[in-house]
Amino acid sequence: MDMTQTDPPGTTAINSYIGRVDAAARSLPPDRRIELLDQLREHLDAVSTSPDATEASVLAAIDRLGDPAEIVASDLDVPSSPASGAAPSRPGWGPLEIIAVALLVGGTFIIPIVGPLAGLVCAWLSSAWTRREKWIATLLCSGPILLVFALFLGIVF
Amino acid sequence: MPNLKLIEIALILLVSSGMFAGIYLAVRLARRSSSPTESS
Repeated sequence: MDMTQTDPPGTTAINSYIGRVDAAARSLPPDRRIELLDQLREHLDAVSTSPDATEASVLAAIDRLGDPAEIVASDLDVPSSPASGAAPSRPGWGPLEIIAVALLVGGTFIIPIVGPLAGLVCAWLSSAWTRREKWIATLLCSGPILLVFALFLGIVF
Repeated sequence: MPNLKLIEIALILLVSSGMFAGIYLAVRLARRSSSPTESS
């Protein structure tokens, strides 16, 4: 982490809150627990990184989310709508998602490098995936491409 | 021809680069869509 960069307001409170939710969410299935934590962090990060964010606005956002135990309880009761007000439920398959997956899987046969990258852009524009899933996809996609560049640099130089 | 071998590897990596990501996202979304307990 860059030590010269200051953390957004409320970072400590967010980390503490996420930690408490994590502890309360031990009864949830691991996948669901990770996604719930991702959703909460994504939501709170959005609040803390907004231009007019203050410590107070972040604390208010945490307050609105409610008690960690209640969030987990509501998640167990209504699996499709976790953490009332935390984050909107993600849509399923739509045109953007289909285009994203199609470009990622087959785009390289149409335009190498550019095809998958366009698919990646579509994936980031879609709200169907969590930020974590998008980052994993980005790494999966860009890793081999970077390796290809490295190989060609090795050939040229 | 070591360069040819490298180009072969590069092409394979290029073809597979997006596939891994696409399959991963598709599986995640498909699982979420089909399982009521694994929402969002």
